[in-house]
Amino acid sequence: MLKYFMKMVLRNKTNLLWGLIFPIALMSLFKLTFSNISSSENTLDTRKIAVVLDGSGLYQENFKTVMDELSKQDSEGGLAVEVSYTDEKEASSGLDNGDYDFYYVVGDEDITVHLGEKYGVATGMIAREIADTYKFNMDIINECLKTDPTKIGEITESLGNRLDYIAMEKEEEADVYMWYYVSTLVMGILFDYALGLRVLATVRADVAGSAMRVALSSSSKTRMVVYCLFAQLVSSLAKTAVHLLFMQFVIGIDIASKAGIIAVAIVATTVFSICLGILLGMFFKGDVQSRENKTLGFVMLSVFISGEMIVSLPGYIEKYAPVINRINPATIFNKIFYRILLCENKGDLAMNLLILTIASLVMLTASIIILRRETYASL
Amino acid sequence: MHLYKTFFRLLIKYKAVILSYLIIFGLLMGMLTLFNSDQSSGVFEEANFTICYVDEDDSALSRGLISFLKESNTAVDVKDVSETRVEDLMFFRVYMHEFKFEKGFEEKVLSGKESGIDYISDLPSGAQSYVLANQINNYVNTFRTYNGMGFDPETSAAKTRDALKSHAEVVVNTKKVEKQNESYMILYMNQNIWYIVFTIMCMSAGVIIVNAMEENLSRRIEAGPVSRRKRTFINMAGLVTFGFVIYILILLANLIGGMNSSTVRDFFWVIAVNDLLAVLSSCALVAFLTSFNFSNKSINMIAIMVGLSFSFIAGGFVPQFLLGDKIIAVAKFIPTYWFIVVNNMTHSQGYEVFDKVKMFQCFGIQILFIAVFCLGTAVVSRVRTELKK
Repeated sequence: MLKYFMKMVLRNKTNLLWGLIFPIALMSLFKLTFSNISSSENTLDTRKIAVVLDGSGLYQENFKTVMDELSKQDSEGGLAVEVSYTDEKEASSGLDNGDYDFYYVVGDEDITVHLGEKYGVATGMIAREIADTYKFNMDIINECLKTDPTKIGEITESLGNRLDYIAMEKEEEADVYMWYYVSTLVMGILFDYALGLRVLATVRADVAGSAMRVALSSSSKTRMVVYCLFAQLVSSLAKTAVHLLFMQFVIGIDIASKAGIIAVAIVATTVFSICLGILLGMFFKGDVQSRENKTLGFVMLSVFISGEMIVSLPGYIEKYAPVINRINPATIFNKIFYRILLCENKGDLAMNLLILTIASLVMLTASIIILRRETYASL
Repeated sequence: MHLYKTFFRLLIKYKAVILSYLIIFGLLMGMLTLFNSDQSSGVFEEANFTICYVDEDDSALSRGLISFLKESNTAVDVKDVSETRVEDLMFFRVYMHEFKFEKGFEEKVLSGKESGIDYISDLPSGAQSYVLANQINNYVNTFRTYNGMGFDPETSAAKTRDALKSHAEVVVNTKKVEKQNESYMILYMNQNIWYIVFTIMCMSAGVIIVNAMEENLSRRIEAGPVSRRKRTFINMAGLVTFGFVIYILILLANLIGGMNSSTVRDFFWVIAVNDLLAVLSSCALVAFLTSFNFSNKSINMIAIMVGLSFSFIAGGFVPQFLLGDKIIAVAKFIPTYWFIVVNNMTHSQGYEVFDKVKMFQCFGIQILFIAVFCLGTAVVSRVRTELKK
């Protein structure tokens, strides 16, 4: 019987291809379109800066010294910059052409930051932060010169001996867009509801023609459901393994170091998705296609509110209706992978996996109880 | 006329697909508008981070630092919240950064040690972290300087806050005049129109055309007294009529959604022509794709894949100016790119200066794409007919 169901799964090439290719295609599109934003917004790439010294006083001279020091610092030390000294006309046209990320105009007592029309949020923040740091230090020195010039040496030494109270961890590549890939993996797993519907279509005679033939068999329905589910599970796990390999080697997310716990999570979430497909399919009416469309609507809604399209949406839900995040399967799946991939403290990971396993068992038992009572043509 | 009516009778069967796409699209547009309508161009946006903190030190330095951070960020005390819950809140992006000021933090700073703050973030090397780290380092170093000058911790904290109050002026070099009362809904809606129109048409009208080419069904249709040419013509007429119905709905959505906005008042004719070309290019591409011998399921898959990939690459989901040069180079070979370039001209957040010559060039290229798809459809249909013979 298992061989029969395995053959059935393998012969459904459209479903196999769709389940395999769609998440990979989506991840590739994310990689193509987000990599540029990700690198410009979330990592400290080298910034090209123009400096316009408007005058030749102490304020301008000190700023030049600071910028020269900053340009000597490589990216390992935090922010790396390339500094050019020029006039305002050249700096402005360089900003328009993309030769510079931003430029400073340094006067006798103040400094102005100039950003391009399409400046990125990260660039704007960094540009102002550099200027502010310089301005604060110069303001303190000027205040000291006015109030107590005898302490100027002490102050200059203290400001020069700047300490870092929060170290930047450059070796760990930041990527806020990583969650789009994980959500896509989760979406791929949730789409396995369709496999649950295949289980239903195999044993329930009023759903599909092929099930009518199976219904005439003398084998027990429980056995049929379990074997069919197992066959679907094997194909789904193989497909998810390909997705994980893609994430590891193409996207660059570290899966290998947590392979054991990820495997457990994948099995638990996949079994849940298939069982959910069986249960929802039983309650909806119509043929396989119609039941599939209705279940797809449910799954798409679940994926949507988990933040697949708008990453900040679960945060709003958490503020105003947190119960939705507690019961939404896609959010629970995402949280499981978040704990595995990013958190030292595993917190409620084991509890969430246990809840999923219990829910799967309950759904499967309920489905078997209902399905084994089904009769076809009084047989 | 009978066949033409039958096409629409069949189309009504796909109302669930059409409605579900329209509802999700509507929700998405509503949320995008809600989350992004506070953006403005030509003005520097102050960064505001969502921070949570635990102050175990409760010293003049830690209290001063927290109130300094609160001035430009949203900072919440999570002393009584469990570690797991804080991590959950960071997962949901309620907070993006967590700081823990250890007991003895002030003491360590004053004795010249660097440690004392635990920092947790998903973005440990990002620009947000750089800015926050710099703000904290500025504060603590200035505090240390004042303390070194002989001031007690309370006075040092007060003086530090005063010293860090004034910021450098930031100017955004912009050539365009900020438009008043622009409609973000219109920008986002039109940006995604190509995707939604193409997907809906392919998954409803496209499936009807493909189904009619299925072997058993086509044999029954062949037995009818209607010529192949007439049937093809009716299918295409049905497709284009459906396209026009969608187009009218889009225009109504633009007029209602952008009522009183400068986007619709100043650029309605541009939007109307551009959306018409988007609908026609979608129709032409659907006709081209359905001319191949795809199955019912395959055409659904193709609709999703083509719709998503065209919109991703052309800047439907991610603004064009944020895409890399190589992606833009590829995007120029699809009609969606030229459609979005024109759409970007209608809003300051599109970052595309309105240029009549460029706009007409984009229209022309879209018309060329429509012609190429129509020609492709004719060629593929011809070849398939010849092969069948």
